[in-house]
Amino acid sequence: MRNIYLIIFIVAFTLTLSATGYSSDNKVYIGLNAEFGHITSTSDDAIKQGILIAIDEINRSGGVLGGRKLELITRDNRAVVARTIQNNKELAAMHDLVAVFCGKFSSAVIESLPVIHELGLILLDPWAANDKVIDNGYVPNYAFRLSLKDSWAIPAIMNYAKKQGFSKVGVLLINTSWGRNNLELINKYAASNPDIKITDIQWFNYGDKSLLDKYNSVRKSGAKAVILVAIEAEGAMLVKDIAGLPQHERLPVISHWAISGGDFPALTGPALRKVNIAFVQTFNLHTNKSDKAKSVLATARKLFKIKDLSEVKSPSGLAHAYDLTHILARAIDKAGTTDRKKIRDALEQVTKYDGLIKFYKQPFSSSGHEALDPDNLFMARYAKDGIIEEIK
Amino acid sequence: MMAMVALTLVIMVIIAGVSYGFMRHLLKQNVIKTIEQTARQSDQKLELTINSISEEMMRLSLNSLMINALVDTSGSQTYIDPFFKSYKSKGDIAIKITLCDFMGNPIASNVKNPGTYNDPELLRKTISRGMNLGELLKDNNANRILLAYPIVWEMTRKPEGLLVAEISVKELVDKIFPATEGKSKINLSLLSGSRTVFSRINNEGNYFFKFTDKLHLTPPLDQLDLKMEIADYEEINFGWLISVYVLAGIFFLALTIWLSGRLSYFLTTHLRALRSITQKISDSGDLETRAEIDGPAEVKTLAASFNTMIDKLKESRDLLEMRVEERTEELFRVNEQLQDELRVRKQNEEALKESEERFKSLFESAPDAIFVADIESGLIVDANPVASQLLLLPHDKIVGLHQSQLHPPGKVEYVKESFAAHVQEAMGEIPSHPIEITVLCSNGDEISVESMAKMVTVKGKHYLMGIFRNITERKRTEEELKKYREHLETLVEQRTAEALRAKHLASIGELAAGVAHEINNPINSIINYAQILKDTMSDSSKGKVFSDRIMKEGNRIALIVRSLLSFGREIKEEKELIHIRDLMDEMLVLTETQLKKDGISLEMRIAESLPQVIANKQQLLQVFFNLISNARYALNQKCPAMDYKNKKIDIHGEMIADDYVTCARIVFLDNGTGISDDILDKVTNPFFTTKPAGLGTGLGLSISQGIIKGIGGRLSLESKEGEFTRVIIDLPVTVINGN
Repeated sequence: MRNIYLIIFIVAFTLTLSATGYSSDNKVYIGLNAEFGHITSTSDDAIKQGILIAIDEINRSGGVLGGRKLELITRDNRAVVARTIQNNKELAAMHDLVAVFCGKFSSAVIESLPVIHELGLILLDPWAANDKVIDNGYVPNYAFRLSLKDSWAIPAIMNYAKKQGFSKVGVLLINTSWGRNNLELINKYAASNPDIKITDIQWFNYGDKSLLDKYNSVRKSGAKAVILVAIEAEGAMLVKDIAGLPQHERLPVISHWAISGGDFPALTGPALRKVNIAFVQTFNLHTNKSDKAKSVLATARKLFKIKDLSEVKSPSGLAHAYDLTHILARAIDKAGTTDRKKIRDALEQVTKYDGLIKFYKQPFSSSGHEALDPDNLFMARYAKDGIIEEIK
Repeated sequence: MMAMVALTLVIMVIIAGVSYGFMRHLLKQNVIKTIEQTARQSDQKLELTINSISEEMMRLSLNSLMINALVDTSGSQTYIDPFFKSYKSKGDIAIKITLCDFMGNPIASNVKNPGTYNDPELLRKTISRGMNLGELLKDNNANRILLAYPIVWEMTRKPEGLLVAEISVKELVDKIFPATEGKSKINLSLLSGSRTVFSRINNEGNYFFKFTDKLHLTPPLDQLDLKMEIADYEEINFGWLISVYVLAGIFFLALTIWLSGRLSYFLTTHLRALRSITQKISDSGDLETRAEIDGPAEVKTLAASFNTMIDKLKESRDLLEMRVEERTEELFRVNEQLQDELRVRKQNEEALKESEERFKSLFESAPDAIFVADIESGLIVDANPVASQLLLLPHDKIVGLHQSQLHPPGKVEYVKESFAAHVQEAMGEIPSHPIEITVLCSNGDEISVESMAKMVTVKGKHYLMGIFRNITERKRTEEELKKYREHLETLVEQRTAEALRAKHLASIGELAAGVAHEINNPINSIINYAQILKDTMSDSSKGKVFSDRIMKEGNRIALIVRSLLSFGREIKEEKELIHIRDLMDEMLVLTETQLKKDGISLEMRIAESLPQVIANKQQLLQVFFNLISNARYALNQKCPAMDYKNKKIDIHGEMIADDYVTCARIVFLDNGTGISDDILDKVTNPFFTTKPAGLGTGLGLSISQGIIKGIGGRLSLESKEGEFTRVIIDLPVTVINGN
């Protein structure tokens, strides 16, 4: 009879712990709410890999808060706003979950901001570039980014276009808040740089079957190059549309970095070689020869059984998430608790982190939630082997 | 003539009715065909309109703006709301279009406040299944068609939202079939299954025409199971047709009547003559009359034939009358014979019935059980109600039993032998002697019966009738009487012995009384002399003390002697007022020495206030003496040695009273051997004793109880074997506190 009481007590205790979300293994959880169901996206996987590599290193070094292990919990939002919000609500309800990483889709992230702040959930952005993700007006601000932002990317793109001698450019944008943010920045840039002119602006939607008519509209407007704000799927569609045209009708494409959020060479196939396409980047894992990079690659090989560097798609996402996870771990230790508000405050106080991308003197502060800066940006292209290479 | 006219009239009416019905049917079918054609066209119009709306909504759901809006909800005001608002449906039918997310929550709509859906779970299921939905909703008494189309994103290959279109059924139907007030007599209804979702009633009443057709709708509209019903109440005006028929009918009727009259009159001139002759013959019966008619050859031939017929008829009548007379006589004779036979048979039947009833009554009311058995097979063929009571079996269970089954298996052979001899007797003329046998009841009991048998013959067949008399009660009574006689004999023996013992005791009592009387005088002398001796001594003399002791012991001897005298005295029935305490003292004088000798301590607590009782002093003394004697015996049995500590007799007396009775209670308690439960209720029986032979008569307690009862009291016992015995005597109180 005593054994029965003991079993009942243990079961009841376990259920109570489960109900309160308390984990008996005393782990500290990090969420990742990204577009895993999106079939062309690889940025989600890269972010996940970056986080897991960092977690592996941190846990091997003794974890956080004096020995507690970190663990990643993922949720698929399929890039859809409603699912993103729902996932964030579920993650926020989990005990000892300290922060949530987002994916690539800025629109989904921006629409989640009210819920994020209402629930006091820390948002760590390793990719989404819309300025409004961080410049959101919330005080205190729970969003932190270690990625590029549109207001850095657009000048870099436009400067590149100008440097290439394209005085007239046409713009093709995705019909989202991200696209609209970029158009604002393009117009702003054009307004202050009269030597480059915007000849045509064309919008397209997710789900469009072809961008050819829009491209032709841009081309016929007299544009010498196309400024593209799109993710990999629509970017690849455009490349294949252009590649189908005669050589003289193929305009160079200068793209925002989101086309590298998928396996672009695979999506475009041979068409990629027929179109001159450049895009902005923050980090090149393939060319970085630092000890840190070697260590990260070694861990990546161990954890994900990859054989070759070309298997790491969207390397910027991996690097951003990796550095951001380490910064978060330092903030957790600094806060000395899993209390999100205290960790949020501690994130603004982390200093001197020698990361994969760079040495961060103080990645975040009370006045700035951007860990990178415009100097980290460079223009890149896909080499013949599909590896991203910097355009010198 | 009139019959002919009536017949003609009926035929005409029938022909007119049939032809009118046929004409009316043809005209009505023509009208129905026209309406049905119109209804089918209306049906097709409705089908086309709804199907085109559905197709349009499906196309809309595939528009890339829809998935774009799901990925970028912030753009709703920028492009999706304006897109919806600018949307114009075919036929200008008002459709509420809403884009919902995967939870069924509206994201954008062509109306200002789309609100939430009453059943978002339905929408969520539609999304998760990825199937288009057609549903009829009813709120605020308005029916709406709800069409929902999941929006699948190529990039996730899953439904991510839903395009929902809502159409008011009334607006839809009104748009396609505008209401023409007062002009149309047609009723229009739209049904979903058996449920009416729209109804426009222009006319009430019986349907002249009703047309129902299932709408052939494309998915998902086919889920609605819509049917259109068109009904027309307007009756086709057939008044003119009726007028034509009536006028024509009247004309042809009049013409027919006139022509018929003329023709019949012409044709029946000679027939009327022949009818008058026939009438004459039938009225008078005169078969001598003959038809003398002059006319056409046919008429003459008819008259000749008529006359011949009259001749034949006359001849046949004569012959028939003669035969009827003969047959009537014959029938009368036969009838009389039959009446006689019938009377005799009835008398026989009544006699037989009476005999049967008498026999049945005798059989059923017989006080003994009667069984009738087939003498050849031994099977019982009948039994009376007493037989059923005897065997505790219903009649139908008894019939069919073999007669050997009436007896216990172990006694069957004996019964067979006894019965065989008995049957031999029964077969003879001399009545058989009863024999005693045993029968077996259905409950297993065996009952002794006295049996007699008699052979009876019914319709030449032999049966054995057995009469069984239940003698169980008689035998039991005999047995009881035998036992009682034996008991009485034993009692007489016991009482005789007791009387002898009592006589012996009385002799001893008389002897003791004589001895006591002889002792009494010297004792008085001793006491007197001791007193004289004491008087002569000085106060300081030690001899005075010895004198006192001599007087005390002398008084004690005198008291013992008085007690012996009173015990030995002949018991008288005189009763007197008695102080229990005094009586108890007197009793103790006689027993004290014996108790001390046996090492028994006695404690007596008789309350001063204990009232007096009326009793025979001698008898009551005998009771107390008996109880002390029994207690002493029980204590000595338990502990033969002297043991004041463990051998105790406690006597106490008190007055008890309740609302009804007041009595003096004297309780004798000893811690001797006690009495076992199984004999406690027997110890007051006469001659019941546990003492060895010679030590007790078994009359002590019995006499004591009789004495106590005799003075209106009660004697009861409580005991626990091996521990104690408590005798409680309650005596009626006579005097309480001097009252």
